[in-house]
Amino acid sequence: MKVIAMRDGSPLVTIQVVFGTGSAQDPAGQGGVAWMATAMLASGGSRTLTYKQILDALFPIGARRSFGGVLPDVQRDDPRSWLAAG
Amino acid sequence: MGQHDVFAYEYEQHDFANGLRLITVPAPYPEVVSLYIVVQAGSRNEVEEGRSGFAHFFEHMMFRGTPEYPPERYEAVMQETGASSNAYTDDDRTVYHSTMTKEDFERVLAVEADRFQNLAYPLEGFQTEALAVLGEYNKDSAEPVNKLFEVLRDTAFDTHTYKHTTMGFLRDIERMPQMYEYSRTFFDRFYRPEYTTLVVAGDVRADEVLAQVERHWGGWVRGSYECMVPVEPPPGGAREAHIEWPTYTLPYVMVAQRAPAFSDESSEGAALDLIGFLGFSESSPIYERLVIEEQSVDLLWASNADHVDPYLFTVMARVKEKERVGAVREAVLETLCGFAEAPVDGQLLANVKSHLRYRFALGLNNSEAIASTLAHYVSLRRTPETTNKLYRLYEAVTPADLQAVAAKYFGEAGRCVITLWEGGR
Repeated sequence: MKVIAMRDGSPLVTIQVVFGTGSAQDPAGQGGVAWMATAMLASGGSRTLTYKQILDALFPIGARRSFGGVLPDVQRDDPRSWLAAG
Repeated sequence: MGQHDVFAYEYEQHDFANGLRLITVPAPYPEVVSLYIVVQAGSRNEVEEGRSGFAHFFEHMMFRGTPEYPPERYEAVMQETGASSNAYTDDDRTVYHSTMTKEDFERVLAVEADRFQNLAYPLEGFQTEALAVLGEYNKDSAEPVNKLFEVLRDTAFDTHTYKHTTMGFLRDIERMPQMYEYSRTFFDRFYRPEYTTLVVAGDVRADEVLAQVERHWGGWVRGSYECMVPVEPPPGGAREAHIEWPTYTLPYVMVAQRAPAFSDESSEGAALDLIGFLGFSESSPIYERLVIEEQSVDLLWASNADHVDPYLFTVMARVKEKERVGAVREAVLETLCGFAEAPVDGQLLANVKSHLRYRFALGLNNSEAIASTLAHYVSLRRTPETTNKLYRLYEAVTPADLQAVAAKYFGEAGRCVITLWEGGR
């Protein structure tokens, strides 16, 4: 995994996790698999946290989680809590 | 940023000799500048009988040109610069805004300064625009929610100008074409530096913006008009109104309670904002019950909208069936009164405060968002500092404060209920 940090003067932090896979990697006859896998990752739970637990963890820091290009903004105060829930 | 300042950007605030105020926020977002011109006059300032809707009408007139920049030349400048530009009016403010690249900032600033100081329009253009406003009223009237607000205000208020919507009473809109002379009076009163604040956010240096504003706006002459807005007497009892809607619609119920004016000193308004979120947001128990489980309601929201003078805490529900309106109304009232009866969970309150604070801060993620957010608060207190004070008030609100504010404001005497459903064809 490669980490790229782009610093500026903004008090906000945007974290993007970019996977080098997309619909180009969809197997023949299974178009949409990459999209669905991303949707499961962004809108589902995990082995350690249910979807509700993830939402509850993000709620107090006002962070949003989405996929398809836009990813969360968190205030510089507390990116760690997003990293844990994300 | 300071640990306790929710507005995390450095800013400069400057008062010119003519009363104009400039707030500059050099933001770390490259190339773009956003200019918000905030006039502290809206439909609240329409104090004279027969003149409702004039602030909004005047916003239209501001696009009718000056001797140096007739409308087509003004439009050409905006086209050439690629500036995204518009305006809006509401109860307490009229706001003119444009967003452009930093190279074009001074040019746009100069054109805007020209129309604020030298607006000139012929009678013919005035009358055309008056008809455009009537058209806008008619278009908006096709939306039941607009009618609900119109009737809510008219029912809830007796003397304050919040009695009418920003669009104005229809009878006044219809007479607008005859009010050319008055339109000059309106401009002369309110389009003055002491009513106006410029908010500039983006890729700028504060000292350069100061010099540019001085160059183009420094010669603007201060006015002398003081607007005396009537004080609304206590309500003296619950009020109700019903609207028969002539075409198909889902039924609506609106429950409003008299609420205090915006304040960054008293925590009552902040407590009501928190009740709005705790009580009626998507994570609230009543939302869970009516919208998700029963599915008797498909739209539910509450708002304690910031106002210069005391306004209303409003809850609105769109109900699937007319027969369910009474039950939904009772559920809303039970939720409101419930805040007076029992304290909310401390951890839940802490989470909501945190959520609102971060949501506000995270919304300020580009220059236009910074300027547009500040425009709202600047029209109330004329300084970005009011946002920091407001969020400190939220921080201090306790479960007991929520109980006290609910007991004080959610009584029957200050209540106004409006229903709307299909009928009367």
